[in-house]
Amino acid sequence: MLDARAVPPPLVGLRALDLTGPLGWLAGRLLADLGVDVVKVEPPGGDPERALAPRVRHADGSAEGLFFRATNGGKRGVTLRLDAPDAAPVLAALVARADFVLESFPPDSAAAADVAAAARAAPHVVHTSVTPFGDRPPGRSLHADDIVLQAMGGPMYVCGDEDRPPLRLPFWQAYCHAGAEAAVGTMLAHLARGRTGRGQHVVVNAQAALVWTLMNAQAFPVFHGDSLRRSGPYVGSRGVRRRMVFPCADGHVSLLLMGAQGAPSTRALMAWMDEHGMLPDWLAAWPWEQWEPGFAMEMKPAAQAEMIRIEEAVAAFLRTRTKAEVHREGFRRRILVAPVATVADVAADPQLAARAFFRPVDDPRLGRAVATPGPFARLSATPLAPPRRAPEPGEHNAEVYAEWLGWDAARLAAAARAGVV
Amino acid sequence: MTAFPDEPGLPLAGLRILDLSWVGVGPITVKYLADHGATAVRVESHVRPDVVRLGPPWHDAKPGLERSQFYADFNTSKLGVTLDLSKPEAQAIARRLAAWADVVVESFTPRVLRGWGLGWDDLRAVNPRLVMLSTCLQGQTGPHALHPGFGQLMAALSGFYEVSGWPDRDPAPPYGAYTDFVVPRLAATALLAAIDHQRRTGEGQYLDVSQFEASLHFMAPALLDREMTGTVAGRFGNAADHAAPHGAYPCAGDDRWLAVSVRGDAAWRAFATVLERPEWLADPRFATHAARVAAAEALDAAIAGATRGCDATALMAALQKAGVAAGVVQSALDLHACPVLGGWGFFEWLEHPARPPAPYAGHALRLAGTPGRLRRAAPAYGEHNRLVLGGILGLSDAEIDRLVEAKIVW
Repeated sequence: MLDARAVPPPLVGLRALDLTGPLGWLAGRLLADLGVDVVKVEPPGGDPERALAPRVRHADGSAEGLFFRATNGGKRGVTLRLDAPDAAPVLAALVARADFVLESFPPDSAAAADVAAAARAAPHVVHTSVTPFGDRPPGRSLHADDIVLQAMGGPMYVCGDEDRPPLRLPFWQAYCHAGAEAAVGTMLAHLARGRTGRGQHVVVNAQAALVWTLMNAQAFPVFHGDSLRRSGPYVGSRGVRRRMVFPCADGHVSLLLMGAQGAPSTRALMAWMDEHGMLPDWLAAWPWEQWEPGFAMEMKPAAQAEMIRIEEAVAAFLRTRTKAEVHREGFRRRILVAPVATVADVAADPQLAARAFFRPVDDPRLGRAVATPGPFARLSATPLAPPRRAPEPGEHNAEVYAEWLGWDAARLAAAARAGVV
Repeated sequence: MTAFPDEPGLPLAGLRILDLSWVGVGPITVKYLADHGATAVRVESHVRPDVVRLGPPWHDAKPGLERSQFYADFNTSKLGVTLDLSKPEAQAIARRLAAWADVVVESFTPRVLRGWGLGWDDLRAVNPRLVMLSTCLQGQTGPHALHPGFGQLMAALSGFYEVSGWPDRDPAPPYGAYTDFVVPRLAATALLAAIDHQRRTGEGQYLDVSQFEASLHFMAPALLDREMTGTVAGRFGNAADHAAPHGAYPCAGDDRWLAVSVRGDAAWRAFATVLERPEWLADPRFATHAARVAAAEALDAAIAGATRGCDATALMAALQKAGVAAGVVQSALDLHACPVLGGWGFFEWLEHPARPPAPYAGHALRLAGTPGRLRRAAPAYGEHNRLVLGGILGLSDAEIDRLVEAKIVW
């Protein structure tokens, strides 16, 4: 394995102060994987957003949010009450010791202003603000959460069934995109700092990050006069659609039914159908290389009728196959098809197993190791750190305040008495 | 040849990238760096056109290799070179470009580049400090390393399709090749860290980015839930338990919806007040957050009844003013007129001789001190052949003419 070598990740020696909420959690997680010492700052008692779903209920009755767990692994945890009267100099000292400062406070808030002031006083610091709608009016004053960002950024409009409300994609996708985009911005500024010695302020706009999930859909109205629309298992616009998801014997599969460049795949599918006696005569000599029904916005009514007829023949065949069969035969025959995998299918995937993607992370509360998603990239010379568990609130107060600020036990106790830590 | 275009004010000025990638993940990853000052040479060929060049939307709604905004949006600020890499002489030119480059990015199915003498071992032999990033669907090793396909299939295989939709219906997947827009954010982060390491130590390295593995970081909560509780996530519409109401509610007009997330009692009171429904505040079914979550169906029906006649934009403004998270479910058409995106300066109009002026998608990140920008519209086929082959590699005009004539540069 590339990662098995005992060499440090690329950014070992750098420090990040992570003041983010869910909008920015993933940024610090990615930096921690890259070797940065990421210190997550929470109010005493912990970030209330730790409870975001899904959750696991532990034997002691406590509930642990798994979005928090996934996006805060590998960080160290400290507590700091930012609105305490004596907090400002502590925050300033932590910022001054950091190479990166990450936060996602509302741009108009006092907390955002405090962090910005501390960062300005430490010109080497890369200060990344993860925001819902940017730092400019009118977006800087707007409130959001995950579903509102998916709405305002565009993906929700094209997701769902036409006879029901638009849908968000679950598991905090907007927050994930914003956090990952923040990691890119932070690293761009870090490279710039390598040349100039100076840090700078980086602003990330989650709404804009969501627009970038629309592939080519955002530009359709400019050139084709209309927007794509949600159409359930199809991709479509008004009056035309192509099926993306087909039921199979034990769930669903996704198939790209293409002509032209995709003709070899479709021919291989037809051959497979033929082996099972399920290729209709009228499809046997279909000219796939010349078949260009047009994209969802462009299909003519005759092409749409033809498409529906072909899709029905293919659907009848796929209904007789299992996900595992489709996965195996699709790969063997080079058909552009994939199972619509459940998380159980993902956990059992042979490719991920062969590459040892899931890594055990010991969990004292469960008394066992938890198979956890591993490296997001495999670096040959400086492999990423393995996944680690997320910290408890203030778990690393003593060591972090000692290492970063030189506090001894008495100083820490005084800060605790003052309600700061 | 004329001077090479470098812009010293940009944060990555001086960085040199050979971009052998195509379709989505590789080109978008390189775009982050090119828009921030790197000199990125994008290699293409007429023999095997990038499929997004063939994809809509098209200028004037007419198909054509130089008419695709799909391609244009992903490839700003790059220099375009045509090489038919199946020919040995083109492979030799690519190796010379790899010797010039700090970074090579490619997204072929594993084996393809090795067959052309352009694999990691070949290229590090000509450039020991090279950083090379390969990205394919399932990674460079393992039994499914050769799996071909697009991001739509990866979005299905990595679990996103299964959890998108209504519990009583077929999956309603996210539009398009969803994971193609997850992976570049992770790939660019890793690539920039490797470049930082290269600059500090002189050491190059190889990055294997499996689009499957990277994407699963966006499914991690559901994967951990199965691992820790045995729960296999299904489809659950817009249901949530951190907020109630939480969903999209119909407004006046054709397919107009407002997304709302109401967290806590103060926001609930503000919400009912803006919608002028004091009776909701007296309704025991809606008295607490837990009650509202439990009564989500009745709550959604009541709200839909109240919002149906409202103007979505006006209702969003009123709710936002009252401190409630609310946003219009914007169509693509709405995005181009969205004052919030406009305030950020998201779309940038660019011109190119091969295409009429058009609004290009800008960035979701901004470096306040040294901002990147869309430096140039995406290149036409071979637009910078002479600039790159002459200006970088020092080939004469006559030599370039010969290579074009032989369809090596093609």
